[in-house]
Order: sequence, then structure tokens, then C-alpha cells
Amino acid sequence: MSRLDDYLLHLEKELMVGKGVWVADFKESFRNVEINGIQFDMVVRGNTRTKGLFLSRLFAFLTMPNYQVACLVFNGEQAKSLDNQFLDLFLKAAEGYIKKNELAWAWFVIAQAGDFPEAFKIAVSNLSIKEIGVALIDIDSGAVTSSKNYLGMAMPRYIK
Amino acid sequence: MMRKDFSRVQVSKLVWAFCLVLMFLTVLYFTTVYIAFGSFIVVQLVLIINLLLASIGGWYLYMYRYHTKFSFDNLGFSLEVGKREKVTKRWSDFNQVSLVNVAHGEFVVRLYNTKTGDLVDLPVSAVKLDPSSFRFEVMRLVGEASVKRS
Repeated sequence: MSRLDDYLLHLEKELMVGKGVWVADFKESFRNVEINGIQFDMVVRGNTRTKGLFLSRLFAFLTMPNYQVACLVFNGEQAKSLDNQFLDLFLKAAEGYIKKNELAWAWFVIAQAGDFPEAFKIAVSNLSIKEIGVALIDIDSGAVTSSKNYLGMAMPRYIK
Repeated sequence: MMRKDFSRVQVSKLVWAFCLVLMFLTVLYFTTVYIAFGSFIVVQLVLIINLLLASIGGWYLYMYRYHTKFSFDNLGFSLEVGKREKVTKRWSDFNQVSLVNVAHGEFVVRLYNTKTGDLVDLPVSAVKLDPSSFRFEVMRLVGEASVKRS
């Protein structure tokens, strides 16, 4: 099993039964999903109305909006080159997926073993699309670079 | 591939069935006694008999409603939940697989046919299979079936 497979299993577990439950009820995980020509290694879908026992379920029903959300993971090593052109393609696929599935927001994680090009990290940091949080994670060192919008800034806590 | 069979007793569901039957018998007993004698009379022997009857009734209720039998080979699978539900399908009937957290750490492997909209949930936690590993095995079987189909 490769390091990326290990990371995907770890992230899937964290989202579905770990820290991710504080953000959303991530309940369904797909592997190897092609979205607008980009092959995502993992797509975890959920909604923001978390479940629980009777009282917490009632509280969530009365107070929480039922937004559909997702976390998509892409293996950075699959990309020919991680540059602005790729980022444009990636964001186009992301926006298409969000629109098609009527998601309120989505996290996009690009994971690879090794550091990302500096220019790519800067481009990701400068992203400010409201519904999309993008994060780059180097699974060797655990270093995370995320977009500086609200969604992006919350990501490092949950995707490490 | 040899056909693999999985059928494990789900203790939590069995306890639930036992409690349901015990509650029913207890309410029935006290209602009958109250109607007959005008007060609640506690007889230890009746409680013991209720416990015995609840054990037998709970087992039958569990077998009728909850007991899950699952078997599969490289062509397809058969799933039986209690005496009510039996599904026999081939892997080639499906083209997408997901892992679903149903509730409280209980997982199912969900099979989709995106063309017809059919879906089947395989209750992997109920038969004590490792959900994540089994999901990959199902993905492989569905993938192989789709290659053979095409």
C-alpha cells in the first residue's frame, strides 16, 4: 500500500468518524471518481445537519441548515505539472461539481509525497472563491498550504 | 473464487429484540393483573417465566427481523436480512461502489447502478467484515465484472 493510500484511509476515517464530524456529517465515500476529466482519488460526501441521539438530532433538525458538502482528494503526482493552468482546470472541475451536485461548499485537497512548487503554493494561497477551500498537503512532512478564504483556513485542522 | 458465507449473531440487535419482548410481556402481565385484581402484584416466578419467554421470543424476533446472512463469490452475492428480505444480484448489475457510515460507526457498502438508479446496501458491519477492506474487494469484483461485460 502506497503512502497516498495510507493517507486516503486516514483522511477518510478522520472525516467520517473522527474530527470531521465537528464540521459536517461526512457519510459516504467514493474512490476513483472522474469529474470533468480529472480523476479524483477520493470523494467524501455529506451534509451539515449532523446526527446523534434523540435530543442532539432534534437540536440539529431545528437549528442546523441541511447543506450538502463534499471533500475531494486529488493525487498531485497524477498532474503533468502543478501550475496555474492546472489550477484553472482544477477549479473549473470543482465549480462544475459543486453546481451539478448543488453543494453549499467543498474542500479540495491535493496530496502528494513531496513539496509543491512555490508558485503553485502562492496561487493556492491567493484563492478567494467563497464555496471552495483548497489545500495542498505534503504527506511526507505533513506541511499544509491552504487558500486564505474561510473554508481554506479551517482545512489544516481536519486534513492532516 | 469459492463462495464465501458470512452470518454472525449481532449481539446488540439480539439484546434489543430481547428487551422489546420483555417489555411487551411485562406490560401485558401488569395490565392483566391490574384488570383481574385491581392492584399490581409482583410474583417472582412470573418475572422468571417472563425472562425465559423473552429469551425465546427475543431469539425468534431477532431471527425474523434482524439476522443477516451474506454470501458472495466472483459472480455475485446473496443477502438475507431476517426472513423478510432476500436480494440476489450479480456484480455486473452495478457500476459504482461507495462506503457509507449509516450511524454510530455502522457501515454499509453501497452498490449503484447509475444507469437504472438501482442501489443495494451490503450491511458489512452486521456480518463483522472490515468495511474498508471489503469495499476495495467489492470495487475489484465490480470492476472485473464490468470488464467481462464489455
